[in-house]
Amino acid sequence: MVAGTLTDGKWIGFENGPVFIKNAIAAKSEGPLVLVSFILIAVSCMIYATIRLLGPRLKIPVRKVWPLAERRLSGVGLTTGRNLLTIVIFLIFILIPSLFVAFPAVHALTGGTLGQALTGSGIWQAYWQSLTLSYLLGMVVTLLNIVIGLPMAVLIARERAGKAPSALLDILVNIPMIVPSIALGASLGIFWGNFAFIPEVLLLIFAHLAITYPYFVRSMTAAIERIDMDLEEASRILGARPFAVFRTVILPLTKYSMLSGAIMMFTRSVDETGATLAVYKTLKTAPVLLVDWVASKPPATPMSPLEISLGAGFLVIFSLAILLILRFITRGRGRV
Amino acid sequence: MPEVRVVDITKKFGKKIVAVDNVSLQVKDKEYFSLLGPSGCGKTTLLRLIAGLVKPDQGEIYIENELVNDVPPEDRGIGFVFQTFALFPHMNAWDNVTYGPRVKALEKEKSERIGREVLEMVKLYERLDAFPNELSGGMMQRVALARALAAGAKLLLLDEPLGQLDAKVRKELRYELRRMVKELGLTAIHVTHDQAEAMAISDRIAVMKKGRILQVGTPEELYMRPQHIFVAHFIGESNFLEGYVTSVESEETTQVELRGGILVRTTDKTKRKGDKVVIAVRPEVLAIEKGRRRNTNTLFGEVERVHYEGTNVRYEVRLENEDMAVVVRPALREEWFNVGEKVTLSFPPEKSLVFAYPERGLGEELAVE
Repeated sequence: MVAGTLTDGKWIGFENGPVFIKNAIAAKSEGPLVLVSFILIAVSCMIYATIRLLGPRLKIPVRKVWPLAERRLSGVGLTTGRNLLTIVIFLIFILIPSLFVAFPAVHALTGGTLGQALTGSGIWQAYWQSLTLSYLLGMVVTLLNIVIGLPMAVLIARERAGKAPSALLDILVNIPMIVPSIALGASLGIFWGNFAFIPEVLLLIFAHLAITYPYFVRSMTAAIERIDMDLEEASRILGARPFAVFRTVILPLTKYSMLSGAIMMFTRSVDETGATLAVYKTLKTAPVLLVDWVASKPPATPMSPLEISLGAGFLVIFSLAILLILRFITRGRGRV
Repeated sequence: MPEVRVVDITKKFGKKIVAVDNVSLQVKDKEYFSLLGPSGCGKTTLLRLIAGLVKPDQGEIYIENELVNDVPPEDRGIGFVFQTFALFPHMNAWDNVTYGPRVKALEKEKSERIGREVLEMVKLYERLDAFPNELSGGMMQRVALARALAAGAKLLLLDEPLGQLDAKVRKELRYELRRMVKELGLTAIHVTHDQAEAMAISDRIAVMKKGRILQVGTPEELYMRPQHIFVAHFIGESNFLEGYVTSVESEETTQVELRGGILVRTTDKTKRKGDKVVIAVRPEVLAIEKGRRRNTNTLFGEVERVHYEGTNVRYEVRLENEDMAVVVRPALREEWFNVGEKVTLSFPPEKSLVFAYPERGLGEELAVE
């Protein structure tokens, strides 16, 4: 989903799948919505399955060796140049464009905009509400997913359901991750829409739960698989029941993977735009609000670029702050 | 009353690999019993079956006369020592040792008392607050042992417990293992591929190959009276001389013609004229003299290689019939021979063993891998 190509119902000639779906939702045209979502989901799954099954069998036919050329390429001058170029490309194409929106925010310090923003006056009240919603949602979803994701991770890692079913589950848990998030959102929206009595907050939680689920389960599954079976067997023979084995051996040894999985989930939930757009009715999370601001949809009409950049800037700063704090907490033992 | 009894146990992995093939075994109470064999012979699988870590496809396992096939490992009252030690990396030595009592919710005082007792037993008094990655191999193994003992088990199962240790440490620790087991009145089943280790500390040994038990006996029985040619080869060392029985002279004496027409006498009651046989003679049984002398069972040859091994000297002698014979003599007490010297080897008939020539061929039967 590329927020920058929004057209708000106007055809500009080229829309990718997720943008089309977003417009279809806004226009409430369910038929095309379902069709395109279905196609996106089906194709994503097929591609993923193909890669997963055929990938390991693929051989890269590199037989020739060019010792002289390779030695030159590994020389000090070239590698230093390459490293510099890598950093420059990263700065120009990735880092600066990503943070660019926050730069104009510096003007806010001089104008009165910052003051307005911090006191939550006018449009900013909705902003802080959305931000609070985003972070609360993130925390709730992270905690819930830890509870429901851990048993699944154990199940897959230790093949508790049998070898083939566990392998199948290992592939299936990835589905929310490989399907484009707005198609996922459309699917979730239609599914949960059948139960009209569900409050919107729960709807948001369910949507974010589904989306962040794979991140945690994959991370924990890998961590549990890394634990030597000998340790579990020793623990059992010493008298520990399976749950005690989990509590005294598996959990302590996967602490850092759990933490990094939780952090991934939290940030993914706060970032989540596509599915939330498909699912929400009145409650706007921070990304959804910003999308509206950029599109100048009421009541946020019109928004000056300064205000938009300030809004985005806050998000960037907070996210960076959280990341740094969490990095500090884990202090190198398990990368965040 | 036997402590452990295994009846007709079979375990397969997939459709083709038969790890344990219809094995029956009895281990007596308070016995130090070893399962000995080359890699892949099924000894570890058998141990894990007894521990309950693996379920058998067929057969029954009895511990103290109770059928334990469906009893989970934590309820079988056993201690297990892993080859890789399997110490919990997130706990220090003390916490590792007291894990058993703690996880069974014993009172703190009792757990601590047990912990101190077993650490005393394994002679580990210091570095109790160290983590496993800070300990040496020998210390880790002591902690692993203490941990298994602290759980209060009467049956101790050891899976190549000394495999990861230095040779010197291995040699010292193995006697300690036996001492501890005997002092505590435990029954121990010890898996190893090191026959010297098994011979040194076991009351009885079961020699296994390809999922089957070939022979069970005391170290002396297995060494002096191996009933299977593989046992003669795997335990200690043997020279194997192929030949045919030419005549059976009396109740006890059989004459065998070796390659090249050499005639030797052996004591055997089971072979008949014309049988293809293999004679096994241990290297320390062969006498070696200079030149050509006529004795009982003489084999003439030339010394091809000499190896000095500290306590012994080892001669590789090329016999007249192109066979190779290995002779081992004490280094300090006897005169040495040189490469190229012509010598006479001889052995008393009663110190040789006769086996039927194996159907699958000698090389295949003796193969260790």
